[in-house]
Amino acid sequence: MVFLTREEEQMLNGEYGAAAQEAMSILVKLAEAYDAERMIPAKSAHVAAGLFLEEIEWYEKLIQGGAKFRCFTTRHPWGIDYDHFEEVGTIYGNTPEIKQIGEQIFGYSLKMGAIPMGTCIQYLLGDFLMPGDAFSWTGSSGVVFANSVLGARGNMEGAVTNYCVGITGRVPEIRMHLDENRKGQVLVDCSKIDFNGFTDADYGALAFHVGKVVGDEIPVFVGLPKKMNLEQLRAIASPLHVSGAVPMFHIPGITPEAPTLEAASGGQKLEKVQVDMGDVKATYDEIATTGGDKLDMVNFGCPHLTYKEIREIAEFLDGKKVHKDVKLWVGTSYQVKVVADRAGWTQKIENAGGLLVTNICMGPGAPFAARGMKIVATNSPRSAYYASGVEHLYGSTKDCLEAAISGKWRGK
Amino acid sequence: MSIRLKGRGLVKGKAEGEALVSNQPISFVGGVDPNTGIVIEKEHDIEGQSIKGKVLIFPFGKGTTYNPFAIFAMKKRGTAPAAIINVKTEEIVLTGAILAEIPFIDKLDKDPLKVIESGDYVKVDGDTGTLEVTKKRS
Repeated sequence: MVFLTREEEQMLNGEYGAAAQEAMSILVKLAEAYDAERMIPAKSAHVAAGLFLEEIEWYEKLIQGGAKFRCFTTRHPWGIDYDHFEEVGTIYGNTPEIKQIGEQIFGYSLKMGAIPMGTCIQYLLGDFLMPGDAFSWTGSSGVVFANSVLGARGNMEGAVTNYCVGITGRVPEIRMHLDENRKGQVLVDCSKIDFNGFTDADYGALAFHVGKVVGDEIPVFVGLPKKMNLEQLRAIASPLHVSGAVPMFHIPGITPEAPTLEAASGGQKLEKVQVDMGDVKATYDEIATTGGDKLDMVNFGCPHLTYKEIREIAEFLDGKKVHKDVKLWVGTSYQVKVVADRAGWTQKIENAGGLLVTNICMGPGAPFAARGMKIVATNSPRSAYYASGVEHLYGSTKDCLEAAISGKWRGK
Repeated sequence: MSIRLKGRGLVKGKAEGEALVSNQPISFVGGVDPNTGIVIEKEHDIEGQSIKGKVLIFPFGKGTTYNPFAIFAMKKRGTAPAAIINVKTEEIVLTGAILAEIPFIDKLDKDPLKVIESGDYVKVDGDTGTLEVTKKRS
């Protein structure tokens, strides 16, 4: 039986309203299923909504039961690009009725008190986590990043749990919240790889390969460059739970709880996997679902792009024109777009014929097929895996941009 | 002749129906058509079969964090399984079963993937965590 504090008991008994009672009762069942000893305070929740209309019934019930988020809770993209709704649309279409339903469903999370960030990179835009902080997030790339790079603690959890954690401010102390479940289990030796000129897509392919090899175990990377930037770390984090079911990784010297290899492994001798450039290159062909030189779209933004990535794209496109038969979508959050507007990056991208889209999922919820796209090129293994109804080409940012201009894919 | 299995009832309630047994993890998002209950994941061992109204027995869940809402939506559309039996509980399937009020049992004293075959008739009691299996006539 899970131990509950007096306040948690009161939530379960309905003294904090029907919504807190329902949320706590779901979390208690979860705690019991995983033999948790107790609940712990959650610092952050991240919620999504809107794939199924039936969800509305649950949100209505929660709102009527007085649902208010008790911990800092942010909202995932809700699929309405307010600058280009007709052109971008949603997976369900781009009619005013669809927009209205989207707004209605978004309204529930706003009413419960979510910060309407409309992005999957909430951790870069003010959802501030420190080592040891507990979180419950939708979006596997953020979960892997926060566990591994920020040293915060969270599980790959379902959307229902994210709401329950937000509403109660508590999370069962299970799986990744416990020290013993966070130790590295497989040593991934990258020391044979020359990282000079290693691109974002190379990092993505490396991580996609590793996810496939380690399955649901926690990899410890050695032989990577000593200093790594945000974009590189994210490129490693994002594919690991796509090809595999990896909740976190360790890079000794970077992962907060792993200053050394010994700390990462908990002193255990680990099974070793060697990864070389041949593995990385071979993985390109696994990520891509088609070949040839034809394409009708280039997309970036799974996960949403950072300032630096947008600037790189804008500078490349400055003075150029995207081919008339190719659409170019660059996806980010609208906070980042405000800066991009001010810096002139948006104008450079849009003068070239591309779109800087916001509040849109460029992975599992991407409306590419709904807009009639058939073959799309990306630098994101995650988008290539999840964006359904289209064929995918995979290459670096530069490969993708060159294809957007020439109208022909030249490949990796 | 019936077989009794005892496990842990994580979602209460009683249900019964024909067993559908899969030896592979299931994703309800993308893997099952929510309008029909038919498994659409390519090369899945129960591809083309309907989970609607069945006692669905599989190792554990897989796939996106949106699975709980898929299970809930299927319940509302009348295409959900009558009960779910897992070998190892996975949070995304469990929370979906809780929300949809679908009896859910795990940790059975015999391996349900070996003891139960598709087509057997299963009575599920989520309150006591027990299954009563009537083997199909061979």
